[in-house]
Amino acid sequence: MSAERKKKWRVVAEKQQTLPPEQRERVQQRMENWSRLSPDERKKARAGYEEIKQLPPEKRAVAPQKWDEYRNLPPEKREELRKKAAAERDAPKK
Amino acid sequence: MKKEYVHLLDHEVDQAGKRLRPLLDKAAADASPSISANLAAARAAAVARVAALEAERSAASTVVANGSTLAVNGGGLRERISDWRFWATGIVVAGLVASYAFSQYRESNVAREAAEVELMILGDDVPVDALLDKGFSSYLREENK
Repeated sequence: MSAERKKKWRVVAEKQQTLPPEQRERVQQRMENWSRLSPDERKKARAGYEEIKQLPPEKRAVAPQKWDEYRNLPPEKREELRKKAAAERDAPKK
Repeated sequence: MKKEYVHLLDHEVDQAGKRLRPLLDKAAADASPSISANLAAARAAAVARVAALEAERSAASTVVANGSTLAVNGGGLRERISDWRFWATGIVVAGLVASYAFSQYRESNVAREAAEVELMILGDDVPVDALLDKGFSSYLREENK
């Protein structure tokens, strides 16, 4: 583990003590999986988080339910949405 | 004719001196006034020479001591301060130290900021899998239209 990541984990460990118990437990559960992600995947997750953060508050509040809805979509529909996202990403910006 | 030297031990020299002293004392006491005056003058000259030698040695050691003091505390430091290389080295060293300190500070800040974002992601009610799935963000956008 690089010195930078060590520092980062130290800060995460320090800061999570200030979180409410429920959130702290969630952090601890997800930490292991997060540490297994590649730098590129972590970068994508940060970008996805920034995107969700910019949603209007009422939409942001229902995002977890939307995730459940999304997961219950037929696989073809999810694949279609992914392709659409990729096409939007690759499309030249106006 | 070949001279022969006899080497005496210290205590033998002392013993010889002790035996000779009464004879010399007696001879000195019986010496004529002119011999006494010559001896006194020779003694005074010898004492003066020893005093002069000691004074010379003392002055030399003072010079050496002062010289070394100057080299360390006086002239050496003054010379260094007036030397541009002293300042150039100082500036380079200060620059390196400042650059290292700044990089450490920046690294620490970057790590802190990244940690804060990661902590928010990990503690959020939206799971990480959702953040990684581009189809989900597209789904959210569709829903928002």
